[in-house]
Amino acid sequence: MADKDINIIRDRLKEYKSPMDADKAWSSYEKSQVKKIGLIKLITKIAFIPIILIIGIFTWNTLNDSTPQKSENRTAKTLANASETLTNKSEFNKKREDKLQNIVAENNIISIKEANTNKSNEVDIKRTVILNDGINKLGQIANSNILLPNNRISENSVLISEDKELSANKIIQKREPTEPIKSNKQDPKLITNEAEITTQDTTLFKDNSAHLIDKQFNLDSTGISTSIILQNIDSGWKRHTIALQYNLGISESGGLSLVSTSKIRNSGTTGGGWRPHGHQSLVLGYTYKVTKRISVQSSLLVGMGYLNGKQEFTYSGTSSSTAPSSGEELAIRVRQSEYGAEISAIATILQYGKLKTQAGLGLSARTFELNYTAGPNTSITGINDPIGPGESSTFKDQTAATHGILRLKYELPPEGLSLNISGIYQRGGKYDRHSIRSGISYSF
Amino acid sequence: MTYASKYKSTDEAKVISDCIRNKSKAKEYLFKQYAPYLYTICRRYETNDCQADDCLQDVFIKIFDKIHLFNSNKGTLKSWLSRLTVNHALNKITRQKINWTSLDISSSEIFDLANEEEAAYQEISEESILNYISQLPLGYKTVFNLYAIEAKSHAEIAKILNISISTSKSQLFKARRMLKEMITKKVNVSYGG
Repeated sequence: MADKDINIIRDRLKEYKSPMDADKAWSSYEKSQVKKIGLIKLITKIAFIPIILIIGIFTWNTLNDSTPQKSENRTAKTLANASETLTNKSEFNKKREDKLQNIVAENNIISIKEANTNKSNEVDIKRTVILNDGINKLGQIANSNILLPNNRISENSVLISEDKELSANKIIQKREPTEPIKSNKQDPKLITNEAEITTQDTTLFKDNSAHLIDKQFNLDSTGISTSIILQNIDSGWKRHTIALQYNLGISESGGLSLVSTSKIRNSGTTGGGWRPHGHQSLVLGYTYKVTKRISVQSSLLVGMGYLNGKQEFTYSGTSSSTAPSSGEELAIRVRQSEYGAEISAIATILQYGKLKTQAGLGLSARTFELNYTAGPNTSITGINDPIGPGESSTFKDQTAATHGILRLKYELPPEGLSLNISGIYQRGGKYDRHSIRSGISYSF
Repeated sequence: MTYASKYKSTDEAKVISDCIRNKSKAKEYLFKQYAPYLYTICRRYETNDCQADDCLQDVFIKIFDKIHLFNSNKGTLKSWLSRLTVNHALNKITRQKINWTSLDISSSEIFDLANEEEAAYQEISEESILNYISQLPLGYKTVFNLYAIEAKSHAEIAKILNISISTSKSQLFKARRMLKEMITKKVNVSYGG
């Protein structure tokens, strides 16, 4: 085959269109696609429901790490730790006193104010966690009454406030001997004996409803939406929620939504950071299109939460003969349950290019129950029903509220992706809440 | 409203944007407009019509999936579609095990082949040429298509197919010789008739 032949073949085939029945080819292509897409859609639609539930359960169990079973296990562990620590402390104090007496004997320069007649090595540590009645406040007061050997009591009160200097998560209580040791040659190790008790803040949350369904999909489309909800109560942005929404488009007039939310909190203080909140909820919603621009959305909410407030302490025994010890102790255990319902009418008020603006009004009602139990060495005060160590109590609350919604939705490429921002103001009962939600949704 | 009445040949940008929006009519228009042309490419690389049909369907799935990536500043839609189709066919071929045998061909043999008397290609229909090409063994056919129709150099072909330049040359040589035999025989037969 000559080079010229190749050029001829190239010229003849380069632009050649094979004779074919394009209509038949298209119809065959469409059929195969409908089958493939239909199957993929069906699998995707079904698969997303357990995925959302699994994510919810995973978040609930793992992040919060405080289901009742785990809570029981944790309590058993912490009690064991605490017991062990107390034993260590007893041994430590015994050795410490022996050492003090040795110093007195050897150097004769240290005098102790009170006669050391009581040889009891018992150490009793009592702590009182006082929770402010003002709900959702980071501020707490923790008192630590420590009975030192020989019945000397050291009282340390630590105010855990919203002061930026203090971490909302960690309180360090330093225990020092009440009786000053008079010495010209003090052993610095003896003076620095201290127990560091770290208390996680155990704020009780009585109002958890940030769950108004915020449906960002076309009614007939199936898709997922993620959003972060910045919620405000009283003053300051205090609690946030991560929500994962799955929308199942049923028809042009309606669609079902399943929303899994997990509350997180960023205290905004040093060392605060993002933390799970111990509350998880599922919302099942239905939206019905009344006219082209108006729809009604309704939802049912089931929320539950567990939270273990723990106190960690490190006993930094500095005596050469005493090993440092540490433990973790339950300060408060909280169990929350919540049921709610809401209905809203939403209207598209403006559509300009890729930007859609919607506004709505609605009603919501919910019932909330909170059970709290104090740890073995903790008293909880500052709430309606103060309780002592190991005691439990319950708080119940019912609220009905009205709300207003403003939504902005901006379509992004590729098709189906959109950026959503919405604001919700809720008023009623004891609480006025407002929240801003921002996230993305993707319809497929 | 049919696709033909909705879109005109000058509405290419509109067709593309509607395809991105997943509009069925636009997809139908694009398919019917370019399917015969792309089908020719599929036939050149595939062995039979069934395979070519499958190739065309797979290519259009890819086209509608990637159409948002088309940039009119970088070339025409037709060349973009053509490139996508060739790449699809080559991907399929490179996944197969091909025995790329390399022959020692002297320069004089290549020279003789390149300068031999022209065959009567003007007398043969495009359909016949396509049939001859499709009958070539896979390796010969692939190299011949890339060299003769896609106008790639041996260095480029070697890179695309992950073979040596000499293997590319040898495959092309054998493809040309085999094509010549097929066409000469056919032409002689038809002329003889």
